[in-house]
Amino acid sequence: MARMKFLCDAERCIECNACVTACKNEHEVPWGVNRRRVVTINDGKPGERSISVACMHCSDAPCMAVCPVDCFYQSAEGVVLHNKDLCIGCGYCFYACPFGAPQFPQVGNFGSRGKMDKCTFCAGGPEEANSDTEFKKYGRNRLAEGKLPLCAEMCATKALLAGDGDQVANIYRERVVGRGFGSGAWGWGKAYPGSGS
Amino acid sequence: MLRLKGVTLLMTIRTVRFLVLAMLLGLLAGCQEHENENPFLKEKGVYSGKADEPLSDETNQQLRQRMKIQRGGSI
Repeated sequence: MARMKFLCDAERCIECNACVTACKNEHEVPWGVNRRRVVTINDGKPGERSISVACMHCSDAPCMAVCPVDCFYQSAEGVVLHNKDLCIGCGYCFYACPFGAPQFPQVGNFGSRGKMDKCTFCAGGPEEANSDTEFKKYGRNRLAEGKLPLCAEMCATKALLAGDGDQVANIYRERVVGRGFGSGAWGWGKAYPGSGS
Repeated sequence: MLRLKGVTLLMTIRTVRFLVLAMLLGLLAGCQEHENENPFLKEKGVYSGKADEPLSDETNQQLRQRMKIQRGGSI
């Protein structure tokens, strides 16, 4: 299987925030942490576009490169995951990420942030698939159940696509050809350089 | 007077010794019998945590089928 990718079709996103809600509910994400959020560009002006943003699971992930304890790894499907047992909450990944994906659960004294939390592409973590420990630390492992990330599966307008990068690219290409125009696959050039965006 | 001072000093040294010993015992009692699972030696750029389980071919096939549902709609 080719690597897993996200794509948000800005022409279809209606800023309903269903992806954000689905993600929070599915993984029981703590208060103050948003693994996914919807960003609106040119709000209220001509050319307004909304984009659903989370970890893009970059090909050459900057978070992986800067982590001082190397708590990140890429799964066989290309999903960028991290080990919370190794994470020291330094926040370097947050500064390195171009999408602002890493989140920290607390703002404590002396800059203590707690273990980093981010989108897992609904692939859990290094714990046993669908175990209680995995759910508590990383959320549900839908991929192991043969299901795609809930944010994409929930999307009413099918603006958010997730899955095999080749299939995602094909779907988007068909749409652009059908429409006769496209505003570009937002973030693809940055997350997956060389994949054509 | 001088003698009294000596006794006080002796008492203070004993108290300090007792406190240090108590602290050491406290620290020892706080130690775990078994080592933590944290890695001791680190190689730069190498993930040293638990390995993740790869997805089976059947699961990958299911995921591919599910991708087709996302095509939906005309534009």
